[in-house]
Amino acid sequence: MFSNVGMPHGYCFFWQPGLLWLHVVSDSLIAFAYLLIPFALLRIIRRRSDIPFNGVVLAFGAFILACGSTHLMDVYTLWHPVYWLSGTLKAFTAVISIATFFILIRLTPAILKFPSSADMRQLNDRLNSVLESTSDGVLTIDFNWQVLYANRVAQETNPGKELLGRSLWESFPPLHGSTAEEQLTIAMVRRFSTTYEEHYPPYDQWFRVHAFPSTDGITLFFSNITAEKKLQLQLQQEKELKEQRIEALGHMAGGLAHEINNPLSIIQARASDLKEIADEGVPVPSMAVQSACESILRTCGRAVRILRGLQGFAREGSKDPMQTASVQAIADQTVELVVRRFQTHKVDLQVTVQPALPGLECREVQISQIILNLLNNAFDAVDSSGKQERWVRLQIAQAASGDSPGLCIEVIDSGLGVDEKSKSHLMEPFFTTKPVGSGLGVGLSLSRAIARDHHGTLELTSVDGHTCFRLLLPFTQPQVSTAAATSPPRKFPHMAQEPS
Amino acid sequence: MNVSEAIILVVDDEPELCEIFAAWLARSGCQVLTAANGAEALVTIQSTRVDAIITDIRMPIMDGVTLVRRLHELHLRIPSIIFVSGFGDIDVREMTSLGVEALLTKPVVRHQLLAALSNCLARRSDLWLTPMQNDPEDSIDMALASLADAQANSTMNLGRGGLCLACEGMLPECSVAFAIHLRKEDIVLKGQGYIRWTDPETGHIGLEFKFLDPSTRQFVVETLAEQDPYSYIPRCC
Repeated sequence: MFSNVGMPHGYCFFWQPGLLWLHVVSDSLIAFAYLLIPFALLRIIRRRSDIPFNGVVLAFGAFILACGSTHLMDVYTLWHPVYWLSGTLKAFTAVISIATFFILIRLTPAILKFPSSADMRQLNDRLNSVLESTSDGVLTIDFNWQVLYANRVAQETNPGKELLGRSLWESFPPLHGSTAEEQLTIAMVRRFSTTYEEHYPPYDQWFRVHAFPSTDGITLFFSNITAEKKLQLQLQQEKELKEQRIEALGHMAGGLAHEINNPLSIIQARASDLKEIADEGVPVPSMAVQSACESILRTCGRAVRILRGLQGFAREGSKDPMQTASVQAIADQTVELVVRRFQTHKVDLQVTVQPALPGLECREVQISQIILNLLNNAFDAVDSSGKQERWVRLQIAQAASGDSPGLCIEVIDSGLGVDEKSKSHLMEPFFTTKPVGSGLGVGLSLSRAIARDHHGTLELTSVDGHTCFRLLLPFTQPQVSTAAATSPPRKFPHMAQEPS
Repeated sequence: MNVSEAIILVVDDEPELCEIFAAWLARSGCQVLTAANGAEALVTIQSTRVDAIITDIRMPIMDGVTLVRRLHELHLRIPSIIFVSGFGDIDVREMTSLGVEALLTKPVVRHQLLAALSNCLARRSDLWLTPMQNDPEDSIDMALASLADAQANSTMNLGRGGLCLACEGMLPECSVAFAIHLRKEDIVLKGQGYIRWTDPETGHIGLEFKFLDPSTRQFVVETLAEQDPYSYIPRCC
């Protein structure tokens, strides 16, 4: 292959120096350029690893390199007639060229599919419009907590201040030390996606946030769930009220069994005694019959009163319409439920109701439930105090202050009082100072919820050092449309609404 | 002891019921004291001989259960205690282990009260004489090394009115015939009774004697005289 065949190619140019050197220089430059082009291609591939079609670029490189070598061979054959070698090189180049051609043909559809920059722009616009039109807020945050992207909804959470390019913590300072900080740090550092719900105090709104790790840092999707939370809370309260009623009924059932069984025992004993005497055939003295019957009648009356008091309590009352009721009747009805218990445990129940009070617009059963709850709490406080002094006062009078006339119901007890630590928690659901199992922790918080429903308040104060629960209620309920009553107290821009 | 010779303390916060019970008992010839609650009863017991207490459970100031617990703490032994209650909110295991012999539910009939009382006051050797009218619903058959051994390893313990036994799978309030072989003593304790409580956690039952075979009765009476247990039905653990 390396053997010389015929004459060197220079003979064809008659060894004319001008023509000879024209070919030498041109072929050398072509070969040099062809040698450099693959390196340039390789450089591009290395820098942009995301560009597909590496295969065809490499094939193209090989093809150009082969072409270059044939030009070099052309220079050599001017002086040395190694035409077999140069022919073989050309054949090799031909094969690579044909192969490159076929690779190119095969890849053409894929190359044509590759999006153009116009396509990319369109895609970007579409994505943007999706992110902008969603009712969720979207934020992209880099590893330094700088906001890289905020959609319209996200931007509106911080009206008047630019979010982009600023730290998340700078834009929303209250997030510091909150669940949000903890959860977002988890997503950022440990690269987990997390979901959490949080109350944001400055707006008094609830948000549900999904955080996902992304290439830049993390992306947050969040939505305003305040309305949902409110509904949930309302349902929870209704459920608690129902449970409290059932629990209170269960609690009372034990006491009632005792209360009803005692009269029954007396009645049965009196009757069976009479029967025993009669069975013996001895005439029963009328005195004995009279005193036994009196005892039976008196005891029956007691049992009936106990049961009558229960009737009011057995209804729920939360769906009752607001109606004007007599304060005296509410007080009497409620006191009847507990008076026996107070008597047998030697707790003095002092009830004072101001005479000639106006009617109270309320849900009677619910107000009765609050008073019952307060009286029972007061009873427990007195009974467990171990003090000599054992009394509970129920005082009902017209409220002295306020812009419209109101009713003030106070329950004061001689118990040990509420300690400072318990005081702050007392109205929270499920907080009870009674031993586990004996109390109804939901009582006070629900009583307060009912009071609020009636546009009133329930507060803990003290009178001469004694614990006093004060329920303040307006005599008439303010006229409020239902729509206004259910809307949130402070409106948050756009968040809970449909995108406009 | 006969009912007519006994001094009975009636404890109830319902004055009229106290009065009725006292009248019933007085008619049977016994001496009756009354108290309005546990605390008053405790004062009476500490100053006077009392053979039996008939007490309500729910009472102000000190309830019946607390009264019984206090008696136990103060090592005041009252031969017989009967609970009378309108509501069964009570742990029978604790009740019988604190020496309470019977729980009567209100309303109570006179002969029921007197029957329970005379049972409580009776000499142990006069008890458990007649077999049950119907055949027991279940049976227990087991063998133990000895009574001392069983008491030491909590498999069986004897009280004034029954025994506690390590025995799984029994139903409460069910009548049983039992045969417990004590190898060392070479005796088979045979009789009939009621299961008063079951404790699935420890696998024990509390059994109240209703009838005992003559030889078993003799063994039980002798053992009780020797050990003099506080509990009516003890807890094994």
